[in-house]
Amino acid sequence: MATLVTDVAAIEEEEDVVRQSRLKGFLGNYFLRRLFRAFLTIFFVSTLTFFLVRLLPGSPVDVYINQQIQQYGYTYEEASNQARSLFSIDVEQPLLLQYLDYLKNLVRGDMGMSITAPGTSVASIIESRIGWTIFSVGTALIISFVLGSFIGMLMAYWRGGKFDGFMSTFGAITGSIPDYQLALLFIVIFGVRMGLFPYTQMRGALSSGQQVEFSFAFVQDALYHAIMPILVYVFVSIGGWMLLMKSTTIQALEEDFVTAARARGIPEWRILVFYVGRNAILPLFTTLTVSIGFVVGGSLLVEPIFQYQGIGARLFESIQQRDYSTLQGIFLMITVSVVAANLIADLLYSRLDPRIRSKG
Amino acid sequence: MSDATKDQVIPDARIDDQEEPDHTTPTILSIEDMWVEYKTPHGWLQAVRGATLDIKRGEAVALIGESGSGKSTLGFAILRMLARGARIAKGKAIFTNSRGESYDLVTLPDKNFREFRWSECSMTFQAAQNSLNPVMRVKDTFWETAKAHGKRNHKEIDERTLDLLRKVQLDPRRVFDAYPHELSGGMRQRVSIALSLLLEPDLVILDEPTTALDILTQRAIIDVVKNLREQLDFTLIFISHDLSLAAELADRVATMYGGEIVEYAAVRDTFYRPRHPYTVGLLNAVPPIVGEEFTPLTAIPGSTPNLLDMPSGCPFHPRCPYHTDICIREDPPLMDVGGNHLTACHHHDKVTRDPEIWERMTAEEAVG
Repeated sequence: MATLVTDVAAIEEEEDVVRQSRLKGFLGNYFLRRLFRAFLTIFFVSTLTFFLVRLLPGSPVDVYINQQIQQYGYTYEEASNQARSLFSIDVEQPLLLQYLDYLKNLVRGDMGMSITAPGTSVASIIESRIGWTIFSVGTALIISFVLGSFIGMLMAYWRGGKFDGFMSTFGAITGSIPDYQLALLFIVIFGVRMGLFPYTQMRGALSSGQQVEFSFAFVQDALYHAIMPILVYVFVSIGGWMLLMKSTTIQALEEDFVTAARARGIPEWRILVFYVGRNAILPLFTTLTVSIGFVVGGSLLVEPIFQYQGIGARLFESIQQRDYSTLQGIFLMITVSVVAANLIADLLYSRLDPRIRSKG
Repeated sequence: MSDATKDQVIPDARIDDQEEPDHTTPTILSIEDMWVEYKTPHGWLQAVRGATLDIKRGEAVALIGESGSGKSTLGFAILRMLARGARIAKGKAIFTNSRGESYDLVTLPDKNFREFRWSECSMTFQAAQNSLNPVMRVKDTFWETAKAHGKRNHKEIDERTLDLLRKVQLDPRRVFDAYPHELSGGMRQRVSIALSLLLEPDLVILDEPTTALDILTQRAIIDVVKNLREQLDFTLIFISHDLSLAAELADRVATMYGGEIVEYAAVRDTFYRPRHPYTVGLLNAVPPIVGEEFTPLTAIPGSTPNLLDMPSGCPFHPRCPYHTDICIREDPPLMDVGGNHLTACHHHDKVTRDPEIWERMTAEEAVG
């Protein structure tokens, strides 16, 4: 009898060990652990946005009613009747029930319908706007990164010189101007005062009549409309890349392996590219991938100023109209892209730096 | 710059060389009156002050001295690897390669110098653990180095790399494909040494080859260098503050003090019959290296000279128990005192290894 009891205990213990090791194996897997954390982050942020957008003063109905009264001189009664017939949302429903509904739909991949634009799904709003933002901010990011790190590298080689001094000042100044202010400055000074560019024609993402197609005319037109926002994005972000690259390059220049390579008679250009540049740019890649995640958020205030129909302008409108579901959708998308970019940054970095790879 | 005296001395030393049996061995590197300066906020600092050194082909020469004596600067100056803001102010470094061609390393054009580096003279750095590019595999570093000097036969380079890695007692297959961070400090040091021999240079400079390594790894590195010297034919300059290393590896020892070479002699002469009080001071400050009886250690009184404010005359006189008036007035030239033993001391005939004279000086200083 006694042996039987101990046997059972032993079996149970064994099962415990198996279960534990399986759990350890799961948590021990770096990638799975990161993925789990990413999902947790997305869940928390979407919950937070759900409640936060509802903390904004006034509901979409209130905002709509006010608008109607101010614009068309409706009485409150008339306006609220119209609002009730227009909006499918029941703002009286308990918050917790709304939240559970939201989660349930989200799990099925349904972000719901826009509140203030009835009949339009949030997904279709994002779909129609996101491309323009990715195009404009993405182009700016690439230009700013490539140009900035190149200038930063030159600053490091000629550190203490005139070029370095000028560029450091330039980077510090442009880096500290808020993007929306620079956008306004561009329009007011170069557009209105000096008349250097036709800012009214350049509004929007495309000229009217221009079809979305695979043609030179389309690309040209898209660039024409995006050029002002791109300039603003490049101006405010290039300083950061320059200064970051300068400091990592100076660090790399002083590494012993650079001196050693010089002593081995390795040609100077090879040293600059494969010894200095290759090692100096490593830390920038993490920053770059993280900035990719912030592509959408960065356009929030610049797009409305240029009347550029990207996701940032739509986000701005949605905030004004208290369009809860669209806000949730856009914020969710921002969260997912930041989290995904971080994940990619980690995985990419381990590919670029052999020291991280083996630790994986 | 009171180097007029130095200029005169070299011919003398050369003449005395005549009685040496090894004058038939060709000189590989002849450094003449080398001055190296660093730019500081307080003006130019002379880190090497008129160093003169003749190195014969196949010799192993140790450059020893305290920190700040200029030994590393001299090594870097030979390869023109000085840091920003440093320059060779004066002097010559005549290098003679295996084909008998001589040229001055100080004035050699940059383009030719790049080819000279590594193919004729290579160097292993003090922080050799960090002298490999972290994003490059060991084999690629070797391959790139060979390619930079016009060697493109992949198979040949690989074979030579594997052979060298074996010669420095590494597992060639494992190290060949590895990244630097996958190797220990000692292994990286060995890879660096193997790398320095890749192009079969005539001259190899090892800067502090055992610093920053644990004692067992130091031992292993010394053995590796010894073995390599037996198997391969190269001239070795190694820079160290470690006298035991000099005793094991060197044929000749050059002692540096305050940027000058104060004594240059065969290794046995340096250890048994030192003719410069500073060398004596160094020897008395470390436990005996060869089977001598234990003698109490004595420190050299005072501290290393301020290179921006050097004492008059002999740079060592403020710390020297033998110093007299002439030492304060006149910097002694490096002269041959017999048997190709060069020393820069007015009182070289009085110098002994007796520690008592130092103790007396220390005591006097305490009283004074």
